[in-house]
Amino acid sequence: MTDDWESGEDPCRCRDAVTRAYRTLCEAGQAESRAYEAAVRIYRFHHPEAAPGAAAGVVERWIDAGTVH
Amino acid sequence: MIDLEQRCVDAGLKMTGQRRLILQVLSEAQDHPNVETVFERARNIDSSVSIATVYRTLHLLDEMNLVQRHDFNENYSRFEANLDHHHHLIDLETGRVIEFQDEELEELKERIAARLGYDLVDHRLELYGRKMKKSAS
Repeated sequence: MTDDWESGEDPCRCRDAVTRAYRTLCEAGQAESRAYEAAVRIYRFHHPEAAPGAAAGVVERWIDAGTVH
Repeated sequence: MIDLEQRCVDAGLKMTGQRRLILQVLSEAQDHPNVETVFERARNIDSSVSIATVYRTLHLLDEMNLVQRHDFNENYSRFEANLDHHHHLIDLETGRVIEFQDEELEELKERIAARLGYDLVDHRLELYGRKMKKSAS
């Protein structure tokens, strides 16, 4: 069975918080890498069960999706 | 409006298209570009900008203390936007980013570095938190 955090689905709806922080920090002139680290940190706060690598992957997908749309 | 541009307006600097362009280049720079680099980056956005305009604008911004001029061990100066130093508190639940400044914190960082035998050159700090619940009284 695939956990929610593995599938990238967001039953706890933290996606808005993750992408909001990323977007705000980038707009404030922070380096993209720092904004990304902050986004991953928020994700891991909501999903402490997620392995660091998996969390980074989910956040990357969410950010990429936000960039495309 | 970008932060640096707002500060220029507040300082009474008339905003022309080319000045705005130069401010954009400075605001986006992650390094300390010299005049030629600012000129090249600006020209990539608008080919009509002249190096004389870049020189004059950077000089004016320097005079007004709106950019920081670095004279490294070179024959030319490098510039960066002189933005107010601030930190971020990030709300873990909502993703809201709150900018703040704190003089005590600035002094504390300097003191820690000095105690360890260093001059503080740079640092990195973000606060993460969640809103405190109001206690029933």
